[in-house]
Amino acid sequence: MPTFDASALDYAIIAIYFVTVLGVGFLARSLIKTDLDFFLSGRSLPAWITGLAFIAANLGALEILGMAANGAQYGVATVHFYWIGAIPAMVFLGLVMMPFYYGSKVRSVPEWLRRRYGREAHLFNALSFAVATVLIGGVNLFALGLVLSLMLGWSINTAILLSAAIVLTYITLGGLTSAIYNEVIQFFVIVGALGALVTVALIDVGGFSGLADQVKQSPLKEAGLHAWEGMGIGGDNPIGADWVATVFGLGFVLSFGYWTTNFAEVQRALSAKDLNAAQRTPLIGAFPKLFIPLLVVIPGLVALVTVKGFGTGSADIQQYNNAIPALMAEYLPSGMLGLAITALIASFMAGVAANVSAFNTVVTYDLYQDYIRGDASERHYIWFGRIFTVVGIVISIGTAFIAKGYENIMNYVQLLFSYFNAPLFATFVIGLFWKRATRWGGVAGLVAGTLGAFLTHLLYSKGTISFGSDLAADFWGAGVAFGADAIVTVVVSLFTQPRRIEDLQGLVWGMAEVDPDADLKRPWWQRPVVLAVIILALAVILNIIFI
Amino acid sequence: MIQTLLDIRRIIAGLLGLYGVILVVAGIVGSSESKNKAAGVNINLWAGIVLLLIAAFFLVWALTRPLSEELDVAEAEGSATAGADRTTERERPETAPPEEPR
Repeated sequence: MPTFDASALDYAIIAIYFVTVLGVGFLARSLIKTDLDFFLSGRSLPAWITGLAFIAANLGALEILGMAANGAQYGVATVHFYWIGAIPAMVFLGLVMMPFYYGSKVRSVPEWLRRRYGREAHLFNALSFAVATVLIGGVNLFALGLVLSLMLGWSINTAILLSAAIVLTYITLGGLTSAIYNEVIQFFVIVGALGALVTVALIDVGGFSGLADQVKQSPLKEAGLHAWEGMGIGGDNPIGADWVATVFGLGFVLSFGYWTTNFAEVQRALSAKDLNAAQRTPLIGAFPKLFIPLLVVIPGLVALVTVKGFGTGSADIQQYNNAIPALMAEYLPSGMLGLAITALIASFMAGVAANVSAFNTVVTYDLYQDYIRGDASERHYIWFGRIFTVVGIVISIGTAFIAKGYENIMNYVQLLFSYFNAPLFATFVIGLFWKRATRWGGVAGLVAGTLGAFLTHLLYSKGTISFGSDLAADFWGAGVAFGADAIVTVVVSLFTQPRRIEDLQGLVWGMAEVDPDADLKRPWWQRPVVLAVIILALAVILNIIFI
Repeated sequence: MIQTLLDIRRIIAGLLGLYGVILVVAGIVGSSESKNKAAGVNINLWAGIVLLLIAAFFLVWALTRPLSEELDVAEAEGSATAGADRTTERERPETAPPEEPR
């Protein structure tokens, strides 16, 4: 990664940002009266705020740097992560799942599991979520330290500790409100800075047609310009996965698992002021998500055609992960450079903050309140949540140093998702749509799914089975986890006692505690179904354009 | 007071506005090298102008629909769809231990 000669002006822009996020933390502190204020912003936020926070929580720098790397390595096919992957899952979350999450008034994703299945599945999930969250928080923290040390020449430890201290301060003070407000601010800084960078890069290579001509001459060739070329069974395409692996593994299991059961995301929607706003949270987030590929794939492709030896050489600047920093060093003058560095820092902090605010909520509500002390005062739970914000950050700093040991950070993260999210999604859909699923079916399925992902990864890394690429291996690992979880859940359920039907009120399909006609009184732009149709139509059109 | 200060629209307007002013000034007084670095585009100037426009949008929104008014509208909407999906219940939904499946 290139070291920038950041000027005093650039540092001033970074400093202004730090002061702003800390200021928001101090202001938000005065709003906290109850534990629900601290952990779920008092369920009071309008949909546009939770929607932008929803997408910003996902717009961590791993996502930005990683997807730009994918853009350079796989070309336009990277859009599958968005238009096949994220978009249908976000629509499903808003339309189908939110009435059960928000309508049943659960405060976390594990809490839904507890009420649907029972304590065993709940405890397994709450613990594994807490572990996964600090691991991923640590990855974000480490990557942030790495980027700061490479770009600004700071020591990696200083960078990790400084950014951890800032996130720690504003979450401890303001809870989820300051996390969400800062995510909205981050969204605008990130999109603004990347938008400027993409515009300049495109002008330099001669616009879209100039870029397309040069990509045809690059190692990606013509295939780099198409999303669906060579996606047939046994076909050859840059990703190395056919349409079955892409649609089922990436689109269905990995993405639905990530978006619908990851509490770091769902928490943003639970903080909305009413069910309608909660349903619109992922839908409003889906609109920017449709166009984020423009901001990440184009820099990847421009880096591929303008940086000599990109992706093949061994210099820092030639690494796929450094596509965006390489372009920043190339194009941005002092001033704009400061804003772009701020955007990268902001996006890393968004990732860490989302994880930490989800971690403190699950530990407080799902572990402490449910299993250790259920009768304490609200002040006590707020206090406990603050303590565990600190604990979460400290553990994340520790896991940041574990992440240091992994060569490819993005693979490490995908691996974590295939372990934790893919099986969980199977348990969720079955629990949601099949009233017969039982307490023991739930926990046995979760354990089997996690083991399935583990075995697939083990056999793949030992070379016993092989896939087209690491990415394809992740898709299939997720598929195996999902399948194992689903089969075991169903089989065990058939042999065990079903739950009483009155215990499932508000938790399963057909028993939602919502008024189905409530949305009809609203104008069209506030109706989730209308928004969903527009989003899906746009996704289809975009797929056709880039076929 | 705190509510008004914490109106996220004002915070966005303030931060992006400040960044906009800084970039526009840098775009005007900067060296010719910095004006041409970005493929000949004075990116500081143009990005600064765009940021100022976004900041202006949020400021106008915050001033024409102040928070107190937004809250009134929310209340009105709430009573219109009362019992449908709006909840005013702010206390913990349940503190009792979970019901055990039988």
